[in-house]
Amino acid sequence: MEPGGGYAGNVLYVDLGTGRTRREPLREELVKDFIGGAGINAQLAYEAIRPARSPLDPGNALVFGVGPLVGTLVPGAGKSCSLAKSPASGKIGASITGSLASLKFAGYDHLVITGKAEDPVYLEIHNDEVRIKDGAHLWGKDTFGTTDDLWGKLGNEYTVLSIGPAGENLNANASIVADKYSCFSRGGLGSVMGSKNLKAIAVYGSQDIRVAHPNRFMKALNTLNETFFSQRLLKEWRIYGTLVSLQPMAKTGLYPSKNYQEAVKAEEMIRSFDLERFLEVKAGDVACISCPIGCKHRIHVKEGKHAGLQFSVGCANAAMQTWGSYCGCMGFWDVVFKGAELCNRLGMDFYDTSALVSWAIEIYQKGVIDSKDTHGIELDWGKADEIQTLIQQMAFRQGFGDILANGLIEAPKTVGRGSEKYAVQIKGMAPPFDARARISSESFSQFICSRGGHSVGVTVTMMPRRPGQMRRFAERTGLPPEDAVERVLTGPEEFHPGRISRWFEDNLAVLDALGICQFPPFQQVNLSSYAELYSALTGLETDDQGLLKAAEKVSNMRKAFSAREGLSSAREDVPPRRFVSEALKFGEERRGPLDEKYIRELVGDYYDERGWNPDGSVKDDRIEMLGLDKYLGGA
Amino acid sequence: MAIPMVIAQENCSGCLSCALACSFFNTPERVFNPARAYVRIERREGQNRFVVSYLDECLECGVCVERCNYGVLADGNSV
Repeated sequence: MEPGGGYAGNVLYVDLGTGRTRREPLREELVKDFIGGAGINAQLAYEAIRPARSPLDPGNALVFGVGPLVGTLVPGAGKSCSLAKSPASGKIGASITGSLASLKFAGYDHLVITGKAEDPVYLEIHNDEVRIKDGAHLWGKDTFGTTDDLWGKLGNEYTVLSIGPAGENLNANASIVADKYSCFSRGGLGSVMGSKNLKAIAVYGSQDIRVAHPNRFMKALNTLNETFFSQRLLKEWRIYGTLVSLQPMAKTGLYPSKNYQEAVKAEEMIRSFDLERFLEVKAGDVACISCPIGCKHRIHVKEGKHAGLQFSVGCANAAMQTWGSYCGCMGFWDVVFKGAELCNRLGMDFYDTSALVSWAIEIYQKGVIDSKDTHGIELDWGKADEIQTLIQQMAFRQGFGDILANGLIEAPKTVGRGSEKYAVQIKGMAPPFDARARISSESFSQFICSRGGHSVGVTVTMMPRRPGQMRRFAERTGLPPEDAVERVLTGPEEFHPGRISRWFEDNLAVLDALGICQFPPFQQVNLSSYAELYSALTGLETDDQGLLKAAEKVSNMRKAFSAREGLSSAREDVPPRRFVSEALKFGEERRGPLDEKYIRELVGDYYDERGWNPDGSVKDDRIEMLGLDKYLGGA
Repeated sequence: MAIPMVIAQENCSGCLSCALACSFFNTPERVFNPARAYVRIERREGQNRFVVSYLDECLECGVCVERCNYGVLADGNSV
């Protein structure tokens, strides 16, 4: 297509098997159907990935997408999206981070990587020049060493996406790390790169992003900014980043501990991870392009065993949750950030890595395994040195780490001895939210999320709200739409967890397709505002309903992808066994276990809200109604 | 007119809002392109810290100062 603005207008295809690269125009029908970013990724991946093969087969493809608003001044428009068949789940694997605007400035909206190089390589993209280069000297380096090497060779202006030892060694929990800190973290996409012998992707571009109607665009942007910058808590977001949620999450019981056997007591969590002490190790902020919040931080630990540790962290709350509460390392910011730094260096997802460590500690403590299995490592909660050793062994596939590296589905099968019942996973991925603490859209949607145990997004339902607040949110944002309000905003907390998850999933799919961050301040903006900005930028007229319609198509494309890979919704859209068989210890309280029948009803209601069959499959006539049959063929 | 001044370089988050604004308001076609901005944000090697500098061609229009959310830039007229 010849874009009026916003889009670069090109897709870059790289076949590592043949060494050929080619640039193709971005097809207009894809823009109309799926907008861009994660939306168009879903179709490109469906088309490029050869079905029913291992995620580590050369037939898997790794797709990146940068939405149309990325590279403009729209606040939060910095998100880039990746997609492949996931080594963690065997289904769709999608992850998002904020460091690939350079792809757009190089002249591409999407990058599709297929095949497998014979020997280690890295990919250099500099505007029209695309080169597959020898990467032998990089293989074996961690992500910091790889990034420094390429910055030194190519220039600091390059964005460098790299894998660490975990990706090289095909860990199910391997991530792709951009510029040493910003991660495509979940789903094991780092090992897809590793399976292709692709160590790194370095991108720099100096091309224009045009604006179809500049005056209209700036008027719409000023209107949006007035609303955006008047939000409460913006200053706190600026200072604490994702840690702004510490107190409300702690009070809701959302810090699972000891492999989800308990949730940390609120007062213990808040006392242990004192925010004033966090400010002592925070050395500054790092932001995605065009972000006024800058939730990422530069960390500098000045005292203790890890004195001198300096790095940047993407999500401090996730670091605290995983290397703090999950593993029982309470009260140690330095330990939390050492775990995070190791994961960034080695290229590993915080959540799945810490869930694997937690599972190992629990089965060790319960006597299922012993020190012979762990090659002499004595595992216990809060033993940071042993935990960090296990992280490294996982990355390098040494000792017991070699088994853990196969992920939350395969590792328990290998260990056997009843260890499977302690593995807490949904479609192979560890859920960040424990639904026994409270059923919200976040905790519920992990069961139905097509990419596995991950919330479709953090939304307004994460905390209990005051009476009437959900309706006011709906009036402000347009979600759920007016004709769905009565059936969706109902129940004791004034929302139906199953039904509302459809609308939040679609809302977040719009943001992912446009390239806007999912953080709460960006969700508070009415979709009409984003639609007006999109129309002014691209010259393609749309409105809020047009955006939501595209999101619905994206959701159905993703579902079709996973169905083609053998997803059984009835069997796999379910909570982990622990959530339905054991109560969650939260201080003196016991919450749950979840009522399986109730959860099944909620899942059924979610399917109904989507217009799907009661078993979660998609009706043929719905595929036709959405106009997706032309992409899905006979699938 | 404003005289852009770097008053707290250590606060720079690398968001490039200043460079995006500069390119949009100062190119005749009104495009976004940090490579065409008169303000430059360069990464210090080895870490995510940034150096802010201005090209001699800077028009002193001040849009970079208006868009900085991190207290890095200020209008020299009012400092």
